[in-house]
Amino acid sequence: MTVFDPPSPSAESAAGLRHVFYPYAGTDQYLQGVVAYTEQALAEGATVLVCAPEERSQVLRATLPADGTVTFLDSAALGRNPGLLIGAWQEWIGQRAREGRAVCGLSESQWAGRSAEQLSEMRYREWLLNLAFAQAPAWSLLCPFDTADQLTVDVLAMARCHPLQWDGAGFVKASDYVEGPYEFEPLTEAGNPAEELDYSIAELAPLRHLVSARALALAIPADKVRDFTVAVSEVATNSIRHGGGRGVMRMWVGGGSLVCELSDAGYISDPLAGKIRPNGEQHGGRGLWFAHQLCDLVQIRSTRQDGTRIRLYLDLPERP
Amino acid sequence: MGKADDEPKAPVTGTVRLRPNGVGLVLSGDLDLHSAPALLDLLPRLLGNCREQGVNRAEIDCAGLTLCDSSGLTAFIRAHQAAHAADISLILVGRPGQLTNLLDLAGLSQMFE
Repeated sequence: MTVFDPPSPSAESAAGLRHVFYPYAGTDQYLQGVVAYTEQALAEGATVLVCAPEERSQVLRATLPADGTVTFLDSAALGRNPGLLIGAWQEWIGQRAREGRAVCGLSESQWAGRSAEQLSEMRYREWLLNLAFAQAPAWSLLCPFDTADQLTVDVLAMARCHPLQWDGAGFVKASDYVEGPYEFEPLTEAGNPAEELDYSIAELAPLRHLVSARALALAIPADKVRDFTVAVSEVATNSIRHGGGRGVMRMWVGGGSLVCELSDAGYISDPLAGKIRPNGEQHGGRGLWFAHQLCDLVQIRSTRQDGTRIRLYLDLPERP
Repeated sequence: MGKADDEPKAPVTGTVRLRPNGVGLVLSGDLDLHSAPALLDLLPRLLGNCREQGVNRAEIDCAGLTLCDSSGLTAFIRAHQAAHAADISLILVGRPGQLTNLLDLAGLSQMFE
């Protein structure tokens, strides 16, 4: 079975993440809440890190103190791939923790213009943050969420991912939080027709060749294709090593992406597998991390009964 | 599009060979789960040759590498550790962009210099 290192606990200060949902409507309420959160953080001597879409960051730069106590992070580092969220925060708070500084973060994602698959994974990453930082030094992360134009079910889906809520003046326990198990939205239907290949170790190279040729034929830039091919190789290698020695690859085009699905009989018990940056010179456990870094989106579904199904997405070039 | 039956069965992955002087390796093709063991198989000979010739620096020529994944990287790490234990530095030269990127992602860029 796949074994991955859990996040390393810091024994002396394992207070973990305070993960705080802040539903708001309108810019006034947004600024009110964010300013109050920031003032409270600064009063406690914490450093404030902001990761928000550029247009939000501009509003915040004009409002929050410009004395260096608030740092604006490069949200472009996350790209459009929600799979990079946990690793990015791991890095950002890690730097400050090494400097011995308390961290209060503010994280706002770009929810508009996302596919159903991306939205589904973005919510899941929000929920996974609780697991990923359960053993981390104490820090807090405020997640403002614009409820205007959102369906009630979508607001509730976000609320389920946060143990705490910001009430405008402080943290309160969130009544909608679901500790687990996480309830996934069903995967979207596979595209039709799908190309299919059974693989074992002898087919690793032909598998890469097949995927690479298909992606290049779709006019996807060669360097993105090369990265995607490595991601496919990583997931197929996991099937061979941990998933019964073989798997089935299916590939189709849908929703503006080339989708490559690899299924095997293995079970990935750790939901954080591949979402946490591997450390140093460990021998294994990098494959899924690389896959997340080298694709536009990764979806992992794994149960003891049905095995593992992993979908890798490579976005098609936008039409001029 | 064809199913597995239409695809070539013969693995087209990478090869690993010793340099003519015996104190370096030359890689070509893809370094993956299938081909990475060949690197580790040659390692004892490489390190033995280095010892015999009094060489403390062995190069792995990666210029012909068409792809390296985490299985390849793990082989590099194991090789590096074995070489280090024998007081030999293992250097990756001629790194293609994809390998450089992978080493960066793993935070291991400095390890093989």
